Amino acid sequence: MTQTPAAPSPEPQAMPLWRRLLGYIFDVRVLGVLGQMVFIVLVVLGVRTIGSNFADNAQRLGESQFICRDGNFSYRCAYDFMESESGFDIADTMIDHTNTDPYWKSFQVGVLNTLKVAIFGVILTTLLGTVMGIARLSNNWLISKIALWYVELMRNTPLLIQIFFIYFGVILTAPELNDALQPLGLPMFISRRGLNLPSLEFTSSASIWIAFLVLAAIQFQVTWVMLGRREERTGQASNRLQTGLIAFFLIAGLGWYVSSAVSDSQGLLVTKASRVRELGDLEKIMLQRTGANHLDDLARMPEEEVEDAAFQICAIEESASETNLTRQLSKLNVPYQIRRYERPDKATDSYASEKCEMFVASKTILAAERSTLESPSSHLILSVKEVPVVWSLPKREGLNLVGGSRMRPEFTALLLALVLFYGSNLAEIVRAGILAISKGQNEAARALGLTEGQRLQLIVLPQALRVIIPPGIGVALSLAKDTSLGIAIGFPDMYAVSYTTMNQSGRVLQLFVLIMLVYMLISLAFSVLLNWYNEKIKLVER
Amino acid sequence: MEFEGPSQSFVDEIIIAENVHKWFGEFEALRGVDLRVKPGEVIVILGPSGSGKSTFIRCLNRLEEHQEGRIIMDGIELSHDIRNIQEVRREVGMVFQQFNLFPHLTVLENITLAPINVRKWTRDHAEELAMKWLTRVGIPEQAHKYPGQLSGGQQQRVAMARTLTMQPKILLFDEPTSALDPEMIKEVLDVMRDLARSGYTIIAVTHEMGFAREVADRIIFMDAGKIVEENTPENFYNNPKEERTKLFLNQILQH
Amino acid sequence: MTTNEELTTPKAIGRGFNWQLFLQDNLTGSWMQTVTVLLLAIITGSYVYGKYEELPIVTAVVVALWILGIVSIIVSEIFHKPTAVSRWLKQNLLTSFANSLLTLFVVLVLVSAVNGIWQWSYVNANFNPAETAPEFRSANGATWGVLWGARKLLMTGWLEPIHSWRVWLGLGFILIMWLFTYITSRPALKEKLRVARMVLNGFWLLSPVVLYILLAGISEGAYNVTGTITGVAVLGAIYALLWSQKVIPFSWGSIIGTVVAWPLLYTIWWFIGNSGQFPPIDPDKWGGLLLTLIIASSVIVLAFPLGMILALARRSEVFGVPAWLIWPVAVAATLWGFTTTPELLATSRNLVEQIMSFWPVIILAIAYMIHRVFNGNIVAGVGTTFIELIRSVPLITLLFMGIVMAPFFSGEGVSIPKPWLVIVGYTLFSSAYMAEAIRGGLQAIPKGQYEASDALGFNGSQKMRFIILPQALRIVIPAIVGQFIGAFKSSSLVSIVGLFDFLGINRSIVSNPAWLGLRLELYVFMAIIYFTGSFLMSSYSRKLEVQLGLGDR
Repeated sequence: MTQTPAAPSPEPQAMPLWRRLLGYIFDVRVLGVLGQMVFIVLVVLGVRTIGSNFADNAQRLGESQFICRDGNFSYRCAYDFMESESGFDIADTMIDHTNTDPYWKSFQVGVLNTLKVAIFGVILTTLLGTVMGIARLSNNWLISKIALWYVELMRNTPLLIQIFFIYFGVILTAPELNDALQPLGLPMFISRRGLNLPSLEFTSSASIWIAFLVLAAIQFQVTWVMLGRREERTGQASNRLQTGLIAFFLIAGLGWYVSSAVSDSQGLLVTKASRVRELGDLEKIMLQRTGANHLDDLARMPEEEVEDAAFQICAIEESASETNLTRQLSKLNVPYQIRRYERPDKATDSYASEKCEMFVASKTILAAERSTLESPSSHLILSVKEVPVVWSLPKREGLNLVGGSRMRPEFTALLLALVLFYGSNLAEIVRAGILAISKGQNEAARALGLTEGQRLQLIVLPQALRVIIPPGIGVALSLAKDTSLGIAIGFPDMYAVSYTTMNQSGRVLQLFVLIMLVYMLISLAFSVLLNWYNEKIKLVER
Repeated sequence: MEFEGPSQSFVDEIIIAENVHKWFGEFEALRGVDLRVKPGEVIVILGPSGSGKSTFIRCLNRLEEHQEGRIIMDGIELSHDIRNIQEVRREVGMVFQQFNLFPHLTVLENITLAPINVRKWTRDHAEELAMKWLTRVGIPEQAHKYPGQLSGGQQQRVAMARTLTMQPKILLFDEPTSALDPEMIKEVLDVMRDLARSGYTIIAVTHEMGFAREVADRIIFMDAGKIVEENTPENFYNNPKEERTKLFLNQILQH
Repeated sequence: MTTNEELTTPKAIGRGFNWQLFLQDNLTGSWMQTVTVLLLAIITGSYVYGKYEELPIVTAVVVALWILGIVSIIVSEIFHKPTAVSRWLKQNLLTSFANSLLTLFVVLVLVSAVNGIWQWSYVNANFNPAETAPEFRSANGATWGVLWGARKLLMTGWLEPIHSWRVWLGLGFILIMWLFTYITSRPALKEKLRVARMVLNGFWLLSPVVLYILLAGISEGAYNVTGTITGVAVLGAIYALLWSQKVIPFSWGSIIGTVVAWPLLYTIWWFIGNSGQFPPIDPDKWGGLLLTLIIASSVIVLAFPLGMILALARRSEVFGVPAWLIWPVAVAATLWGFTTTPELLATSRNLVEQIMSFWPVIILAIAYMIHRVFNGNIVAGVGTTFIELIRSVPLITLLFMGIVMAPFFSGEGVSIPKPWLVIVGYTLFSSAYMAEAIRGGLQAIPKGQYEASDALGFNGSQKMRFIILPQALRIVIPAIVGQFIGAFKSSSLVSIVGLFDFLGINRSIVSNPAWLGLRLELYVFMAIIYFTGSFLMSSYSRKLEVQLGLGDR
């Protein structure tokens, strides 16, 4: 309080030196920098205490962890051990992996598994969360109550118990493989060995077709943009979606035929003596064998007779070549039986010992295998017409299930539990998003005479999505992180694989750094996505 | 109503602003504002929205930081010196457009919190003074209510009592009636009028023409970050010097 | 399909009944609707047929009731005399064709699910605790006896029975405290019992210590004089700091209190320790629900202050270090970094190592971050980095880190019990999320509150203490309760790192020959306990929200 009379504008120069210095110290800017320096010193001291402890212990406990191949100690050799043989098998792999592969490869398998669960999880969670969020608002009392209890049940129990419950209580109490459940007659089977689902199998020509698909997508975009420009220029309305889709499917269809006509990688190994020169011949031979006039007549013949006459075909397990061939044989109505072998040489042995008449595989494999036969010249490799993508359905064969792809029980349980849990989180977000749209918006839309569909598409969805997507991305990130819970039921995700590696090699620190880096990359990807989205809607607001 | 005056100031010019400049990023909000105010003077600042009038009075208690020029309040220069800032803020009271009462405290707590913790008065003394001011703004019976339970006009009067209990020498009003319903404006203006008559130095940004004409010693018209015209109320309304002022007055007085 | 249903416009209720309008509303409105209804009809039909073969009587009853409901609606519509039941049915279950079909389908699914659960959990179940061995179990029924048989393990794990009374005492203590708090916070008594409430709050502050003594115990030992003096010094320093920031007033009473408090408490502590009444319990013996609750409460109690510090750091508005100061320091540090490892590039073996040998560039990157992203505010930079790092990794990584990395950070020969280690890991995790919750609360405070406090002359600490934090914390109470529920649920993750908490203890139970493989019963029981706990807490939080909401209005 300046109770003493002072000059209207006190000149700083008039002040004594010590007051001026004091003034400098009390300057907010100086105080800020000083405060932060104290803060840095405190942080550095804290980190140093932990760090020196750590360095001591690393010397004591971890010297062996930084050993180079030449026996020297160096921190740069921290990750050298990752190149040595892992020595453990991984049950669920997307790429080939054996226990002789290095740790790096095992880690890679783990990362891919983590990504697999995360990606499938996010897709399915989106579906379930949306359906359940809308169901919460359903005017059907029963449905909304069920959705409410679903959400409450999921949110109020630990995710880990849900995982255990689904794994031990649902998947592992399902029937054995030989009497797997087939819900509603759909081409899918549930057993305690996992879930068998239809799958797409790609032959080697798929790459050509995919190139065409990319082209088609570009064409679609070009058509879209060009029609849009024309609309702007001439004001002539056009159905951009329809025209674009026609262009897309034209090119995609063309690509399908081109890729199947151009490529010639699929082969069928037969003996010259069999008189088979092309697939069509099989029909004639079958008619001769059974004495039927027409292949349709086979249906009326005794089953055993047909089975005896059926062509015996060797194939390699889980190969697209088999599906590609059997699809065509089924079209021809020719009866056949497949014998599957793990490796090409086993199939060749079987073929050589005449357990089967033909051997289906890609031409390169067949050529290699033919040269191992006694008289290569007495065998022919026929070309089999190939389609780029084959739809493979699981079906029962004896006690086993063949075709399609099988999701292992651990994967199924983890995926299911994550989807159910995060589906409930997303359901609440979706519900809140829809409720956030004011009544006025709906009334305005109706007043403008929009149809119900238009109202949903043009008014409700775009606004609700703005509210839903940012927290939705958060849910996706949490889901991706919680794939690490797979370790509880033995799903070999990145975390579980690293844990095994840690136990085997004792390199705790290195692996923690690695794990953290991968998770941080995943988080970073999500936050980039979120920022991008937030920027985008901000722009739209202006 | 008779108001107790402010504690006396011993400087000739209680507010001195010289060539004040202020940028928000690229945008220059104040482009060299000069103003000198004598103790007890009442100044009303007028101007279109975005003219920098709010920014200017917020610079006077350093809610905004000016980047060029100097501001001396009651003999203390506003610089980066943290002691000066605290000292000036003790002597300068401000009333906001949105009242900014603390919703988690009762009216009485709202008023006494700063006197107790900043002025270091005892609770009893602070409460006594608070009740005196509440009585003077006419709502002593609301002392134990929460701000959310009061009307807008009552809230603004509480905000004034809160400011006045700190016994400031200078009062800054930042559009205190703009957020009020028309029937409540009068009760707030009455208080302001009486404050102006009891010797406070006041700088008010307001759109209340009647108030400006009645109590202002000087009217300042700002546009685009500059003072365009400075005049007595009489001359300002009847005989403005500048073309820009005439335009502004036409627009306002037409409707 | 529900989208269509739920968003259809309310039907116009005319005088007469119009068949065409009715069909258009329900079936032929759009081709999508037609397809949906037909598809639903087919699915429901086939499902009803399948169920009829399985459970003929129940299915018949359900279908009969359904038809009865529809008939009642038709009749009431024809005679324009809706009863309460038919109106409710029409509005809630049988709104349209599609909805009616859906209702039938869902009811049947529910009925068969409830039937299955009923059969398993009651009809075929065995409740006798003595009969849990495999030979007593029925194929399709629960063996509930395990819950009673394993009750000790489930509740307290491996804790010796002679210590059980301490757990009961702790439970009693908390219950009594809670009861008193409930009574004294009744609106009628709130003002009268002001002193009692302050005493109670003091007890709440002391409750962690009380619970520690009960559950962990104190070992005997000599009176630690230096420790006492240090304690007084630390408390005094905190007092002085708060006083210099003008957050607490100067008064002789509080100064004497500060000086006396620590020696007094320590002496009591020391006496209890040397009385031998509460000998130490090995924390590794804790288990079951006890361990779960210990972890969850410790985490919240520790994470809250840490989270608040982090949130304040992240939002701190100190004047940033100017660029002209950052860059020279950063460049100098970078150059210094290069001189410490001069041979790194020359001796690198591959591309990765070549890149790594330029590590001092990271200092420049950090400087860039401080300068551009945080405007020179290092406090905010450190806070933000910590929060974001923690939030980007899964909880289980931090728990493992607590356990596996502890030997790297602790002194030689020190072995810390596992529960403390997971509490540390979990607290780090939780504090980052807590910080974000509190930051949300801080951001929700209008700018005007800050300005008004500034204009009244409060300094930074006073502004936070008196104006901002009280409001922000009130806003984040639901989020904090949510965090507590999260900690309660997610503490089950410690079972993965080898602790025997409520979930983890089932590993030991199901490996006992008498209870071999009785997982499902345990999981169901645990799910019920977790559900009840979480549900009660979230309802309480909702109630609290309403109460607090009334306070400021």
